[in-house]
Amino acid sequence: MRAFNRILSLLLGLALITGGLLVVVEVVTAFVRDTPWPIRVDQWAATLRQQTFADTIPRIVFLATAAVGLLLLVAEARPWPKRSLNLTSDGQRSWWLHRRSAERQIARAVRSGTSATAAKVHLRPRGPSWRLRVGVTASPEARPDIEQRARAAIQRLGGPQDAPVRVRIAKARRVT
Amino acid sequence: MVDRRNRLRWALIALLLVAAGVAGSLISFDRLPQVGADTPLLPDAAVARWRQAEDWRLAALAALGLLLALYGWRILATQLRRGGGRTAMGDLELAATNSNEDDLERVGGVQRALVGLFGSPHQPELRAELDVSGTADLRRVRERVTAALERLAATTTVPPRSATVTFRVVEGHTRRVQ
Repeated sequence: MRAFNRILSLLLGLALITGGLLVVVEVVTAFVRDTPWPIRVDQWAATLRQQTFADTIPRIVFLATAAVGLLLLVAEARPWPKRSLNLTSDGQRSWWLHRRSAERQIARAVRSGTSATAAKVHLRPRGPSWRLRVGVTASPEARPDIEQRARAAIQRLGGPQDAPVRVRIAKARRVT
Repeated sequence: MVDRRNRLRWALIALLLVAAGVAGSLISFDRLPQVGADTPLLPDAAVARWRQAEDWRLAALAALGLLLALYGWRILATQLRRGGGRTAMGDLELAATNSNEDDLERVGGVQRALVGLFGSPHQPELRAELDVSGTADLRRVRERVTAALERLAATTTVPPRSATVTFRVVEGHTRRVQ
């Protein structure tokens, strides 16, 4: 969501620059030549004067605007997963671990040490500890190995030793 | 900081979109007694006012366009600034953080360090983002970084009041188990 917001803000910035400069050019050309350039605002205005609120296209636009606004509002207002996880702090120093990078690292550890292939890792803080969920494609016999690798990875990352690990296994599909 | 501001900005924009969309829909379905559904989207009164607009109003509109473009430029620059645009550092602070970054990058396992000093210049707060190789044991790295920070506190004239260190694990060259 943070990356999405940044991209959206980049686009907003570009749109404001383009729009703002366009307004300046339109005003100047309307003043100098009597016809606005490059967009014929007068023709647009004529169309808007003929359309009423009850027409189909404006109605669709209003409903779509409300829907997009509502979706965006929900996306921004719902709680986002924390960017970083707290590692035990000492005195005046506090230590944090970037969550996504830790998830990727645990997934790599699971994939490289076991027969598991696709590994998806969810790491969330739970009280003072962490909660780890690992979704993998593997054979059910690999479960203890996967759990053990995931625990070892958490310890190497300096995480809590008692973090509960839950492994969900999806069986690999046969190719033939 | 940037992310928090973006979130607030887009939440406000979303509210505006909902308000505009709902108001337009209500008028469209003739549920708003003040405005009839057969009202044109651009009322004649607005067009008449535009035609009679004096020059200074046009100039004001052009100035508004310029302000919008400047605001757009500010948003764009904030998104692209290094370190998330948290602060603009002075030369002295920049020199201090650069040497801190070099120090921390020499710590085994650390591949890249991004350091910033914040708050009061007499008792600054140090924030560091360290890219750590996936092959390194983070507990060891943490000990080494602690030692480096203590060295730093002992040698500088303005030791940081507190330090916040965030590790980001980047892919290292792990040996694949056969």
